[in-house]
Amino acid sequence: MSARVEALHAAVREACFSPKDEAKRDLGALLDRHGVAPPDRRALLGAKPRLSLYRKLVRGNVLGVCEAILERGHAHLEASAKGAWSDAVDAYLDAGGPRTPHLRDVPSELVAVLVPRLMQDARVPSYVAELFRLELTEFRVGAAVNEVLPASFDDIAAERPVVLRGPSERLMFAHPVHTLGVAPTPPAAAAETRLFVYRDAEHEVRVVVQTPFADELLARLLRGLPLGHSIGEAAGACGAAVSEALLTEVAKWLADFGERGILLGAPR
Amino acid sequence: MKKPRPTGVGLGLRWEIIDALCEGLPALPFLEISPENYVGRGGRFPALLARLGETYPLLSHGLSLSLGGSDPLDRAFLRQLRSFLDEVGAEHHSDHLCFSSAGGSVLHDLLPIPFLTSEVARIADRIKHVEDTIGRPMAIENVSYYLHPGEAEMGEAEFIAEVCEAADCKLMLDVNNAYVNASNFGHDVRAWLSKVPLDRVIQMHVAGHDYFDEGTYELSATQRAGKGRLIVDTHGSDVCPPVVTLLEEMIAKTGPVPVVLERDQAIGELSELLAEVRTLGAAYDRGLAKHVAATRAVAEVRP
Repeated sequence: MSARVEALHAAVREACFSPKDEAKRDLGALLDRHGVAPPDRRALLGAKPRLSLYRKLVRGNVLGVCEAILERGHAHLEASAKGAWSDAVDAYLDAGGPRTPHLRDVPSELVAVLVPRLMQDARVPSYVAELFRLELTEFRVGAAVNEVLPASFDDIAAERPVVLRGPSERLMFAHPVHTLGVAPTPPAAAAETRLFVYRDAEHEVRVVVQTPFADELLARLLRGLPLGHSIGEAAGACGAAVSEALLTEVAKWLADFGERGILLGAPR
Repeated sequence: MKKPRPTGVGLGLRWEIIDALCEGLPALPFLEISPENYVGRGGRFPALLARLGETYPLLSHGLSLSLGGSDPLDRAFLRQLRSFLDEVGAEHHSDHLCFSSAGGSVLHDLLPIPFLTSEVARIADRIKHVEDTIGRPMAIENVSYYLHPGEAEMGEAEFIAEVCEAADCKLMLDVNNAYVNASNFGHDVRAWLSKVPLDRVIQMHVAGHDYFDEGTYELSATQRAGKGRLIVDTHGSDVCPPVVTLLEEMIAKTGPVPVVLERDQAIGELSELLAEVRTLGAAYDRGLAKHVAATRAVAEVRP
Protein backbone atom coordinates (compact mmCIF):
# COMPACT_ATOMS: atom_id res chain seq x y z
CA MET A 1 0.00 0.00 0.00
CA SER A 2 1.58 3.27 -1.03
CA ALA A 3 1.70 6.23 1.28
CA ARG A 4 0.39 8.25 -1.64
CA VAL A 5 -2.90 6.33 -1.81
CA GLU A 6 -3.24 6.12 1.95
CA ALA A 7 -2.95 9.91 2.15
CA LEU A 8 -5.68 10.31 -0.46
CA HIS A 9 -8.01 7.92 1.35
CA ALA A 10 -7.41 9.69 4.66
CA ALA A 11 -8.15 13.06 3.07
CA VAL A 12 -11.39 11.78 1.56
CA ARG A 13 -12.36 10.30 4.91
CA GLU A 14 -11.84 13.61 6.69
CA ALA A 15 -13.73 15.45 3.96
CA CYS A 16 -16.71 13.15 4.53
CA PHE A 17 -16.63 12.94 8.33
CA SER A 18 -15.52 16.38 9.53
CA PRO A 19 -18.34 18.34 11.20
CA LYS A 20 -17.67 21.38 9.05
CA ASP A 21 -17.25 20.93 5.33
CA GLU A 22 -13.44 21.11 5.50
CA ALA A 23 -13.04 20.45 1.79
CA LYS A 24 -15.15 23.51 1.08
CA ARG A 25 -13.58 25.66 3.81
CA ASP A 26 -9.96 25.06 2.93
CA LEU A 27 -9.19 22.13 0.65
CA GLY A 28 -5.45 22.91 0.51
CA ALA A 29 -5.14 22.74 4.30
CA LEU A 30 -7.11 19.48 4.41
CA LEU A 31 -4.84 17.89 1.80
CA ASP A 32 -1.73 19.15 3.59
CA ARG A 33 -2.90 17.68 6.91
CA HIS A 34 -2.79 14.24 5.31
CA GLY A 35 0.44 14.74 3.35
CA VAL A 36 -1.27 14.39 -0.03
CA ALA A 37 1.44 14.21 -2.73
CA PRO A 38 2.04 17.43 -4.72
CA PRO A 39 0.69 16.14 -8.08
CA ASP A 40 -2.48 14.88 -6.39
CA ARG A 41 -2.80 18.12 -4.43
CA ARG A 42 -2.55 20.14 -7.63
CA ALA A 43 -5.08 17.92 -9.40
CA LEU A 44 -7.61 18.11 -6.57
CA LEU A 45 -7.28 21.87 -6.18
CA GLY A 46 -7.80 22.26 -9.92
CA ALA A 47 -10.83 19.97 -10.10
CA LYS A 48 -14.48 20.79 -9.35
CA PRO A 49 -14.94 20.77 -5.55
CA ARG A 50 -16.92 17.55 -5.45
CA LEU A 51 -15.56 16.20 -2.19
CA SER A 52 -18.49 18.10 -0.72
CA LEU A 53 -20.83 15.91 -2.77
CA TYR A 54 -19.22 12.79 -1.34
CA ARG A 55 -19.58 14.29 2.13
CA LYS A 56 -23.28 14.70 1.50
CA LEU A 57 -23.72 11.17 0.14
CA VAL A 58 -21.80 9.49 2.98
CA ARG A 59 -23.59 11.45 5.69
CA GLY A 60 -26.90 10.84 3.96
CA ASN A 61 -26.39 7.08 4.18
CA VAL A 62 -25.44 7.21 7.87
CA LEU A 63 -28.30 9.52 8.75
CA GLY A 64 -30.76 7.56 6.64
CA VAL A 65 -30.27 4.28 8.48
CA CYS A 66 -30.16 5.95 11.91
CA GLU A 67 -33.33 7.94 11.32
CA ALA A 68 -35.11 4.83 10.03
CA ILE A 69 -34.20 2.57 12.96
CA LEU A 70 -34.37 5.28 15.63
CA GLU A 71 -37.39 7.06 14.20
CA ARG A 72 -39.24 7.72 17.47
CA GLY A 73 -36.17 8.65 19.50
CA HIS A 74 -35.03 11.03 16.79
CA ALA A 75 -38.43 12.74 16.69
CA HIS A 76 -38.66 13.10 20.49
CA LEU A 77 -35.08 14.36 20.74
CA GLU A 78 -35.58 16.96 18.03
CA ALA A 79 -38.74 18.18 19.76
CA SER A 80 -36.97 18.65 23.08
CA ALA A 81 -33.53 19.81 21.99
CA LYS A 82 -33.34 21.06 18.44
CA GLY A 83 -29.94 20.35 16.93
CA ALA A 84 -28.91 17.76 19.55
CA TRP A 85 -29.35 14.95 17.04
CA SER A 86 -27.19 16.48 14.32
CA ASP A 87 -24.61 17.56 16.92
CA ALA A 88 -24.38 13.94 18.10
CA VAL A 89 -24.08 12.66 14.53
CA ASP A 90 -21.30 15.21 13.93
CA ALA A 91 -19.51 14.06 17.10
CA TYR A 92 -19.87 10.41 16.10
CA LEU A 93 -18.47 10.99 12.62
CA ASP A 94 -15.74 13.30 13.85
CA ALA A 95 -14.59 10.59 16.26
CA GLY A 96 -14.04 8.22 13.32
CA GLY A 97 -17.60 7.33 12.36
CA PRO A 98 -18.80 3.80 11.70
CA ARG A 99 -16.50 0.94 12.62
CA THR A 100 -19.03 -1.71 11.74
CA PRO A 101 -19.11 -3.13 8.23
CA HIS A 102 -22.88 -3.57 8.58
CA LEU A 103 -24.87 -0.43 7.89
CA ARG A 104 -27.68 -1.84 10.06
CA ASP A 105 -25.37 -1.69 13.11
CA VAL A 106 -24.48 1.98 12.67
CA PRO A 107 -27.44 3.19 14.82
CA SER A 108 -26.15 1.11 17.71
CA GLU A 109 -22.73 2.81 17.44
CA LEU A 110 -24.39 6.20 17.24
CA VAL A 111 -26.51 5.58 20.34
CA ALA A 112 -23.34 4.72 22.28
CA VAL A 113 -22.13 8.27 21.54
CA LEU A 114 -25.53 9.90 21.77
CA VAL A 115 -26.83 8.68 25.15
CA PRO A 116 -23.97 10.04 27.32
CA ARG A 117 -24.41 13.38 25.57
CA LEU A 118 -28.15 13.38 26.31
CA MET A 119 -27.44 12.75 30.01
CA GLN A 120 -25.46 16.01 30.07
CA ASP A 121 -28.06 18.01 28.17
CA ALA A 122 -30.56 19.64 30.55
CA ARG A 123 -33.01 20.23 27.70
CA VAL A 124 -33.50 16.50 27.07
CA PRO A 125 -36.03 14.61 29.25
CA SER A 126 -34.62 11.38 30.67
CA TYR A 127 -37.17 9.19 28.90
CA VAL A 128 -35.60 9.98 25.49
CA ALA A 129 -32.51 7.86 26.19
CA GLU A 130 -34.82 5.01 27.22
CA LEU A 131 -36.73 5.36 23.98
CA PHE A 132 -33.50 5.04 21.99
CA ARG A 133 -32.63 1.90 23.96
CA LEU A 134 -36.04 0.41 23.29
CA GLU A 135 -35.83 1.07 19.55
CA LEU A 136 -32.37 -0.44 19.32
CA THR A 137 -33.55 -3.50 21.23
CA GLU A 138 -36.54 -3.93 18.96
CA PHE A 139 -34.28 -3.79 15.93
CA ARG A 140 -31.75 -6.18 17.48
CA VAL A 141 -34.43 -8.72 18.36
CA GLY A 142 -35.94 -8.46 14.88
CA ALA A 143 -32.61 -9.07 13.18
CA ALA A 144 -30.94 -11.59 15.51
CA VAL A 145 -30.04 -15.01 14.21
CA ASN A 146 -32.05 -17.63 16.02
CA GLU A 147 -32.50 -21.35 16.16
CA VAL A 148 -35.76 -22.75 17.49
CA LEU A 149 -35.03 -25.62 19.88
CA PRO A 150 -37.26 -28.71 19.82
CA ALA A 151 -39.75 -28.60 22.68
CA SER A 152 -42.91 -30.27 23.85
CA PHE A 153 -45.81 -28.92 25.94
CA ASP A 154 -46.47 -32.37 27.29
CA ASP A 155 -43.10 -32.40 29.02
CA ILE A 156 -43.54 -29.17 31.00
CA ALA A 157 -42.82 -29.92 34.65
CA ALA A 158 -41.68 -28.01 37.74
CA GLU A 159 -38.31 -29.72 37.82
CA ARG A 160 -37.51 -28.97 34.16
CA PRO A 161 -36.54 -25.75 32.35
CA VAL A 162 -38.77 -24.38 29.62
CA VAL A 163 -38.01 -23.39 26.03
CA LEU A 164 -38.93 -19.83 25.09
CA ARG A 165 -38.99 -18.68 21.51
CA GLY A 166 -35.98 -16.50 20.84
CA PRO A 167 -34.62 -14.04 20.27
CA SER A 168 -35.86 -11.90 23.12
CA GLU A 169 -34.63 -9.33 25.63
CA ARG A 170 -35.86 -7.95 28.96
CA LEU A 171 -35.77 -4.24 29.58
CA MET A 172 -36.45 -2.09 32.61
CA PHE A 173 -37.22 1.60 32.27
CA ALA A 174 -38.32 4.46 34.47
CA HIS A 175 -40.95 5.48 31.91
CA PRO A 176 -43.52 3.59 29.81
CA VAL A 177 -41.66 4.45 26.61
CA HIS A 178 -43.24 1.54 24.74
CA THR A 179 -46.45 3.60 24.58
CA LEU A 180 -44.78 6.38 22.58
CA GLY A 181 -45.14 6.94 18.88
CA VAL A 182 -43.36 9.25 16.47
CA ALA A 183 -45.49 12.22 17.57
CA PRO A 184 -43.26 13.80 20.22
CA THR A 185 -45.71 13.66 23.11
CA PRO A 186 -43.90 12.68 26.32
CA PRO A 187 -45.15 9.75 28.45
CA ALA A 188 -47.93 10.69 30.89
CA ALA A 189 -45.78 10.08 33.98
CA ALA A 190 -42.69 8.28 35.18
CA ALA A 191 -43.45 4.68 36.17
CA GLU A 192 -41.20 1.70 36.52
CA THR A 193 -41.79 -0.36 33.39
CA ARG A 194 -40.57 -3.87 32.73
CA LEU A 195 -40.77 -5.00 29.15
CA PHE A 196 -40.22 -8.24 27.31
CA VAL A 197 -39.28 -7.76 23.65
CA TYR A 198 -39.61 -10.87 21.51
CA ARG A 199 -40.00 -12.01 17.94
CA ASP A 200 -43.05 -14.09 17.12
CA ALA A 201 -43.39 -17.02 14.75
CA GLU A 202 -44.13 -14.61 11.88
CA HIS A 203 -40.92 -12.68 12.68
CA GLU A 204 -42.84 -9.66 13.97
CA VAL A 205 -41.22 -7.91 16.95
CA ARG A 206 -43.61 -7.53 19.88
CA VAL A 207 -43.37 -5.88 23.27
CA VAL A 208 -45.25 -7.08 26.36
CA VAL A 209 -45.34 -5.41 29.75
CA GLN A 210 -44.34 -7.66 32.66
CA THR A 211 -45.09 -7.43 36.35
CA PRO A 212 -41.98 -7.34 38.55
CA PHE A 213 -42.61 -10.98 39.50
CA ALA A 214 -43.04 -12.12 35.87
CA ASP A 215 -39.89 -10.24 34.91
CA GLU A 216 -37.91 -11.94 37.69
CA LEU A 217 -39.34 -15.29 36.64
CA LEU A 218 -38.41 -14.64 33.00
CA ALA A 219 -34.87 -13.71 33.99
CA ARG A 220 -34.41 -17.15 35.53
CA LEU A 221 -36.19 -19.11 32.82
CA LEU A 222 -34.05 -17.41 30.19
CA ARG A 223 -30.99 -18.61 32.13
CA GLY A 224 -32.29 -22.18 31.77
CA LEU A 225 -33.25 -22.77 35.40
CA PRO A 226 -36.05 -25.26 36.13
CA LEU A 227 -39.56 -23.82 36.29
CA GLY A 228 -40.24 -24.65 39.96
CA HIS A 229 -36.88 -23.32 41.09
CA SER A 230 -37.39 -20.16 39.04
CA ILE A 231 -40.80 -19.55 40.63
CA GLY A 232 -39.33 -19.87 44.11
CA GLU A 233 -36.42 -17.54 43.38
CA ALA A 234 -38.57 -14.97 41.60
CA ALA A 235 -41.00 -14.90 44.50
CA GLY A 236 -38.10 -14.42 46.89
CA ALA A 237 -36.71 -11.56 44.79
CA CYS A 238 -40.10 -9.82 45.03
CA GLY A 239 -40.49 -10.53 48.75
CA ALA A 240 -43.46 -12.83 48.14
CA ALA A 241 -44.25 -16.34 49.27
CA VAL A 242 -45.06 -19.19 46.88
CA SER A 243 -48.78 -19.29 47.51
CA GLU A 244 -51.80 -20.71 45.74
CA ALA A 245 -52.56 -17.24 44.41
CA LEU A 246 -49.03 -16.86 43.04
CA LEU A 247 -49.16 -20.25 41.35
CA THR A 248 -52.48 -19.28 39.78
CA GLU A 249 -50.75 -16.14 38.46
CA VAL A 250 -47.93 -18.30 37.08
CA ALA A 251 -50.41 -20.61 35.35
CA LYS A 252 -52.13 -17.62 33.70
CA TRP A 253 -48.78 -16.19 32.67
CA LEU A 254 -47.67 -19.50 31.16
CA ALA A 255 -50.97 -19.79 29.28
CA ASP A 256 -50.56 -16.26 27.92
CA PHE A 257 -46.98 -16.97 26.82
CA GLY A 258 -48.19 -20.20 25.23
CA GLU A 259 -50.89 -18.35 23.29
CA ARG A 260 -48.39 -15.78 22.11
CA GLY A 261 -46.15 -18.58 20.88
CA ILE A 262 -43.33 -17.56 23.23
CA LEU A 263 -43.54 -20.62 25.47
CA LEU A 264 -42.74 -23.64 23.33
CA GLY A 265 -42.72 -26.28 26.07
CA ALA A 266 -39.97 -28.19 27.82
CA PRO A 267 -36.82 -29.21 25.97
CA ARG A 268 -37.20 -32.45 24.05
CA MET B 1 -26.79 -31.27 -12.58
CA LYS B 2 -25.44 -27.77 -13.10
CA LYS B 3 -28.20 -25.18 -13.35
CA PRO B 4 -28.23 -23.10 -16.56
CA ARG B 5 -26.76 -19.64 -16.02
CA PRO B 6 -29.57 -17.03 -15.82
CA THR B 7 -30.02 -14.65 -18.73
CA GLY B 8 -32.44 -11.84 -19.51
CA VAL B 9 -33.42 -8.92 -17.30
CA GLY B 10 -33.99 -9.44 -13.59
CA LEU B 11 -34.46 -7.24 -10.55
CA GLY B 12 -32.26 -6.17 -7.67
CA LEU B 13 -34.12 -7.40 -4.58
CA ARG B 14 -35.09 -4.58 -2.23
CA TRP B 15 -37.07 -4.84 0.97
CA GLU B 16 -39.66 -2.41 -0.31
CA ILE B 17 -40.77 -5.02 -2.87
CA ILE B 18 -39.98 -8.26 -1.09
CA ASP B 19 -43.53 -8.88 0.18
CA ALA B 20 -45.05 -8.22 -3.23
CA LEU B 21 -42.53 -10.55 -4.85
CA CYS B 22 -43.27 -13.33 -2.37
CA GLU B 23 -46.98 -12.89 -2.91
CA GLY B 24 -47.06 -12.69 -6.68
CA LEU B 25 -43.93 -14.61 -7.68
CA PRO B 26 -43.93 -12.77 -11.04
CA ALA B 27 -42.10 -14.18 -14.02
CA LEU B 28 -38.49 -13.02 -13.67
CA PRO B 29 -35.39 -14.90 -14.78
CA PHE B 30 -33.54 -14.20 -11.51
CA LEU B 31 -33.10 -11.80 -8.59
CA GLU B 32 -29.92 -10.10 -7.48
CA ILE B 33 -29.22 -9.82 -3.76
CA SER B 34 -26.65 -8.08 -1.57
CA PRO B 35 -25.24 -10.57 0.95
CA GLU B 36 -24.51 -7.75 3.41
CA ASN B 37 -28.25 -7.52 3.99
CA TYR B 38 -28.48 -11.14 5.11
CA VAL B 39 -25.13 -12.31 6.45
CA GLY B 40 -25.24 -12.63 10.23
CA ARG B 41 -28.89 -11.70 10.29
CA GLY B 42 -32.02 -13.63 11.15
CA GLY B 43 -35.70 -12.80 11.16
CA ARG B 44 -38.15 -11.79 8.54
CA PHE B 45 -36.00 -10.87 5.54
CA PRO B 46 -33.79 -13.97 5.49
CA ALA B 47 -36.96 -16.05 5.87
CA LEU B 48 -38.53 -14.31 2.86
CA LEU B 49 -35.30 -14.67 0.89
CA ALA B 50 -35.35 -18.40 1.53
CA ARG B 51 -38.85 -18.52 0.03
CA LEU B 52 -37.80 -16.51 -3.01
CA GLY B 53 -34.74 -18.71 -3.47
CA GLU B 54 -37.07 -21.64 -4.11
CA THR B 55 -38.46 -19.85 -7.18
CA TYR B 56 -35.68 -17.64 -8.52
CA PRO B 57 -31.98 -18.15 -9.16
CA LEU B 58 -30.09 -15.65 -6.97
CA LEU B 59 -27.14 -13.58 -8.18
CA SER B 60 -24.87 -12.06 -5.58
CA HIS B 61 -23.67 -8.46 -5.60
CA GLY B 62 -21.83 -6.97 -2.65
CA LEU B 63 -21.33 -3.47 -1.34
CA SER B 64 -18.63 -3.60 1.26
CA LEU B 65 -15.46 -5.41 0.18
CA SER B 66 -13.60 -2.13 -0.41
CA LEU B 67 -11.48 -3.76 -3.10
CA GLY B 68 -9.57 -0.53 -3.67
CA GLY B 69 -9.29 0.22 0.02
CA SER B 70 -6.23 0.66 2.18
CA ASP B 71 -7.52 -1.32 5.18
CA PRO B 72 -7.00 -5.09 5.26
CA LEU B 73 -9.80 -7.20 3.83
CA ASP B 74 -12.27 -8.34 6.48
CA ARG B 75 -11.40 -12.04 6.78
CA ALA B 76 -14.26 -12.87 9.12
CA PHE B 77 -16.76 -11.33 6.73
CA LEU B 78 -15.23 -13.18 3.77
CA ARG B 79 -15.70 -16.49 5.56
CA GLN B 80 -19.32 -15.62 6.33
CA LEU B 81 -19.76 -14.52 2.73
CA ARG B 82 -18.53 -17.87 1.44
CA SER B 83 -21.03 -19.77 3.61
CA PHE B 84 -23.82 -17.50 2.47
CA LEU B 85 -22.92 -17.87 -1.22
CA ASP B 86 -22.79 -21.65 -0.80
CA GLU B 87 -26.21 -21.54 0.83
CA VAL B 88 -27.88 -19.54 -1.94
CA GLY B 89 -25.97 -21.34 -4.70
CA ALA B 90 -24.39 -18.22 -6.20
CA GLU B 91 -21.93 -19.07 -8.95
CA HIS B 92 -20.03 -15.81 -8.74
CA HIS B 93 -19.92 -12.69 -6.62
CA SER B 94 -19.44 -9.10 -7.68
CA ASP B 95 -18.44 -5.93 -5.87
CA HIS B 96 -17.32 -2.43 -6.75
CA LEU B 97 -13.98 -1.10 -7.91
CA CYS B 98 -13.80 1.55 -5.23
CA PHE B 99 -12.89 2.02 -1.58
CA SER B 100 -15.37 2.18 1.26
CA SER B 101 -13.22 1.97 4.36
CA ALA B 102 -10.11 3.82 5.49
CA GLY B 103 -8.18 4.04 8.74
CA GLY B 104 -10.56 1.59 10.42
CA SER B 105 -13.63 3.66 9.55
CA VAL B 106 -16.32 2.38 7.23
CA LEU B 107 -17.80 5.07 5.01
CA HIS B 108 -20.74 2.98 3.77
CA ASP B 109 -20.52 4.43 0.29
CA LEU B 110 -18.58 3.82 -2.90
CA LEU B 111 -15.61 6.19 -2.91
CA PRO B 112 -13.41 6.81 -5.94
CA ILE B 113 -9.92 5.36 -6.28
CA PRO B 114 -6.94 6.81 -8.14
CA PHE B 115 -6.13 5.30 -11.51
CA LEU B 116 -2.46 4.66 -10.81
CA THR B 117 -0.22 2.01 -12.34
CA SER B 118 0.99 1.04 -8.87
CA GLU B 119 -2.59 0.36 -7.77
CA VAL B 120 -3.31 -2.21 -10.48
CA ALA B 121 -1.27 -5.06 -8.96
CA ARG B 122 -2.28 -4.21 -5.38
CA ILE B 123 -6.01 -4.24 -6.14
CA ALA B 124 -5.66 -7.33 -8.35
CA ASP B 125 -4.03 -9.14 -5.41
CA ARG B 126 -6.96 -8.21 -3.18
CA ILE B 127 -9.44 -9.49 -5.78
CA LYS B 128 -7.52 -12.77 -6.10
CA HIS B 129 -7.47 -13.11 -2.33
CA VAL B 130 -11.25 -12.64 -2.22
CA GLU B 131 -11.74 -15.22 -4.97
CA ASP B 132 -9.59 -17.73 -3.12
CA THR B 133 -11.47 -17.17 0.12
CA ILE B 134 -14.99 -17.26 -1.25
CA GLY B 135 -14.18 -20.11 -3.62
CA ARG B 136 -15.80 -18.69 -6.74
CA PRO B 137 -15.10 -16.11 -9.49
CA MET B 138 -15.30 -12.40 -8.71
CA ALA B 139 -16.54 -9.67 -11.00
CA ILE B 140 -15.66 -6.03 -10.44
CA GLU B 141 -18.10 -3.25 -11.17
CA ASN B 142 -17.23 0.11 -12.68
CA VAL B 143 -18.63 2.74 -10.30
CA SER B 144 -20.02 6.16 -10.98
CA TYR B 145 -17.59 8.76 -9.65
CA TYR B 146 -17.68 12.50 -9.52
CA LEU B 147 -14.07 13.33 -8.90
CA HIS B 148 -10.79 11.61 -9.58
CA PRO B 149 -8.88 11.64 -6.29
CA GLY B 150 -5.58 13.15 -7.41
CA GLU B 151 -3.59 12.91 -10.59
CA ALA B 152 -4.57 10.02 -12.84
CA GLU B 153 -1.91 8.04 -14.67
CA MET B 154 -4.43 6.46 -17.02
CA GLY B 155 -8.11 6.63 -17.88
CA GLU B 156 -10.79 4.72 -16.01
CA ALA B 157 -11.41 2.24 -18.85
CA GLU B 158 -7.71 1.43 -19.15
CA PHE B 159 -7.49 1.03 -15.38
CA ILE B 160 -10.43 -1.36 -15.32
CA ALA B 161 -8.95 -3.36 -18.20
CA GLU B 162 -5.59 -3.61 -16.46
CA VAL B 163 -7.08 -4.66 -13.12
CA CYS B 164 -9.26 -7.31 -14.83
CA GLU B 165 -6.23 -8.61 -16.70
CA ALA B 166 -3.95 -8.65 -13.65
CA ALA B 167 -6.59 -10.33 -11.46
CA ASP B 168 -7.95 -12.46 -14.31
CA CYS B 169 -11.39 -11.60 -12.99
CA LYS B 170 -14.77 -10.92 -14.55
CA LEU B 171 -16.40 -7.56 -15.21
CA MET B 172 -19.80 -6.47 -13.98
CA LEU B 173 -20.53 -3.72 -16.46
CA ASP B 174 -22.76 -1.00 -15.10
CA VAL B 175 -24.03 0.68 -18.24
CA ASN B 176 -25.60 3.56 -16.37
CA ASN B 177 -22.37 4.28 -14.48
CA ALA B 178 -20.48 4.38 -17.78
CA TYR B 179 -23.07 6.85 -19.10
CA VAL B 180 -23.04 8.97 -15.92
CA ASN B 181 -19.24 9.27 -15.90
CA ALA B 182 -19.09 10.05 -19.61
CA SER B 183 -21.71 12.78 -19.18
CA ASN B 184 -20.13 14.30 -16.08
CA PHE B 185 -16.57 14.28 -17.43
CA GLY B 186 -17.48 14.99 -21.05
CA HIS B 187 -16.09 11.94 -22.80
CA ASP B 188 -17.57 9.62 -25.40
CA VAL B 189 -19.26 6.69 -23.68
CA ARG B 190 -18.93 4.44 -26.73
CA ALA B 191 -15.21 5.08 -26.93
CA TRP B 192 -15.03 4.25 -23.21
CA LEU B 193 -16.99 1.03 -23.72
CA SER B 194 -14.67 0.01 -26.56
CA LYS B 195 -11.75 0.04 -24.12
CA VAL B 196 -13.16 -2.11 -21.32
CA PRO B 197 -12.80 -5.89 -21.67
CA LEU B 198 -16.25 -6.86 -22.91
CA ASP B 199 -15.11 -10.48 -23.21
CA ARG B 200 -14.93 -10.55 -19.43
CA VAL B 201 -18.47 -9.21 -18.86
CA ILE B 202 -20.43 -11.71 -16.82
CA GLN B 203 -23.34 -9.49 -15.85
CA MET B 204 -24.63 -5.95 -16.35
CA HIS B 205 -26.43 -3.33 -14.30
CA VAL B 206 -28.76 -0.57 -15.38
CA ALA B 207 -30.40 2.09 -13.23
CA GLY B 208 -31.79 5.58 -13.33
CA HIS B 209 -30.12 8.78 -12.17
CA ASP B 210 -30.92 12.39 -11.31
CA TYR B 211 -29.46 15.80 -12.09
CA PHE B 212 -28.05 17.79 -9.20
CA ASP B 213 -26.92 21.39 -9.08
CA GLU B 214 -23.18 21.76 -8.96
CA GLY B 215 -22.04 23.51 -5.78
CA THR B 216 -25.12 23.00 -3.63
CA TYR B 217 -25.46 19.33 -4.65
CA GLU B 218 -29.20 19.53 -4.26
CA LEU B 219 -31.60 17.83 -6.65
CA SER B 220 -31.93 20.14 -9.64
CA ALA B 221 -35.31 21.52 -10.54
CA THR B 222 -34.26 21.05 -14.17
CA GLN B 223 -33.86 17.33 -14.67
CA ARG B 224 -31.73 17.55 -17.77
CA ALA B 225 -28.14 18.16 -18.77
CA GLY B 226 -26.83 21.70 -18.67
CA LYS B 227 -24.18 24.02 -17.34
CA GLY B 228 -23.86 23.87 -13.58
CA ARG B 229 -25.48 20.46 -13.29
CA LEU B 230 -24.09 17.00 -12.85
CA ILE B 231 -25.65 13.58 -12.84
CA VAL B 232 -25.73 11.68 -9.56
CA ASP B 233 -26.24 7.93 -9.73
CA THR B 234 -29.19 7.87 -7.37
CA HIS B 235 -30.94 4.74 -8.68
CA GLY B 236 -33.97 6.90 -8.03
CA SER B 237 -35.65 7.20 -11.42
CA ASP B 238 -36.37 5.17 -14.55
CA VAL B 239 -33.51 4.12 -16.81
CA CYS B 240 -33.06 6.90 -19.36
CA PRO B 241 -33.45 6.15 -23.10
CA PRO B 242 -29.74 6.60 -23.98
CA VAL B 243 -28.83 3.97 -21.37
CA VAL B 244 -31.48 1.59 -22.78
CA THR B 245 -29.89 2.04 -26.22
CA LEU B 246 -26.44 1.41 -24.79
CA LEU B 247 -27.72 -1.73 -23.09
CA GLU B 248 -29.00 -3.02 -26.43
CA GLU B 249 -25.63 -2.28 -28.03
CA MET B 250 -23.74 -4.03 -25.25
CA ILE B 251 -25.90 -7.15 -25.37
CA ALA B 252 -25.30 -7.25 -29.13
CA LYS B 253 -21.60 -7.46 -28.28
CA THR B 254 -21.52 -9.64 -25.17
CA GLY B 255 -24.38 -12.01 -25.89
CA PRO B 256 -26.84 -13.24 -23.26
CA VAL B 257 -25.48 -12.15 -19.90
CA PRO B 258 -27.91 -11.37 -17.05
CA VAL B 259 -28.91 -7.71 -16.68
CA VAL B 260 -30.14 -6.31 -13.37
CA LEU B 261 -32.43 -3.33 -12.97
CA GLU B 262 -31.36 -1.54 -9.78
CA ARG B 263 -33.73 0.78 -7.95
CA ASP B 264 -32.86 2.17 -4.52
CA GLN B 265 -34.80 5.41 -4.18
CA ALA B 266 -38.35 6.47 -5.00
CA ILE B 267 -39.24 2.81 -5.33
CA GLY B 268 -42.80 2.54 -6.58
CA GLU B 269 -45.08 -0.44 -6.91
CA LEU B 270 -43.63 -3.75 -8.02
CA SER B 271 -45.86 -3.56 -11.10
CA GLU B 272 -44.04 -0.39 -12.19
CA LEU B 273 -40.67 -2.06 -11.82
CA LEU B 274 -41.90 -5.08 -13.75
CA ALA B 275 -43.11 -2.80 -16.54
CA GLU B 276 -39.63 -1.29 -16.71
CA VAL B 277 -38.11 -4.78 -16.74
CA ARG B 278 -40.28 -5.54 -19.78
CA THR B 279 -39.07 -2.39 -21.57
CA LEU B 280 -35.48 -3.35 -20.83
CA GLY B 281 -36.24 -6.92 -21.87
CA ALA B 282 -37.33 -5.71 -25.30
CA ALA B 283 -34.02 -3.86 -25.71
CA TYR B 284 -32.23 -6.96 -24.47
CA ASP B 285 -34.00 -9.10 -27.06
CA ARG B 286 -33.15 -6.68 -29.87
CA GLY B 287 -29.51 -6.72 -28.78
CA LEU B 288 -29.51 -10.48 -28.55
CA ALA B 289 -30.97 -10.81 -32.05
CA LYS B 290 -28.13 -8.65 -33.36
CA HIS B 291 -25.65 -10.77 -31.43
CA VAL B 292 -27.04 -13.99 -32.90
CA ALA B 293 -27.02 -12.52 -36.41
CA ALA B 294 -23.44 -11.33 -36.01
CA THR B 295 -22.34 -14.71 -34.65
CA ARG B 296 -24.00 -16.50 -37.58
CA ALA B 297 -22.38 -14.14 -40.06
CA VAL B 298 -18.97 -14.86 -38.56
CA ALA B 299 -19.65 -18.60 -38.69
CA GLU B 300 -20.70 -18.38 -42.35
CA VAL B 301 -17.55 -16.60 -43.51
CA ARG B 302 -15.34 -19.14 -41.76
CA PRO B 303 -14.05 -21.81 -44.16
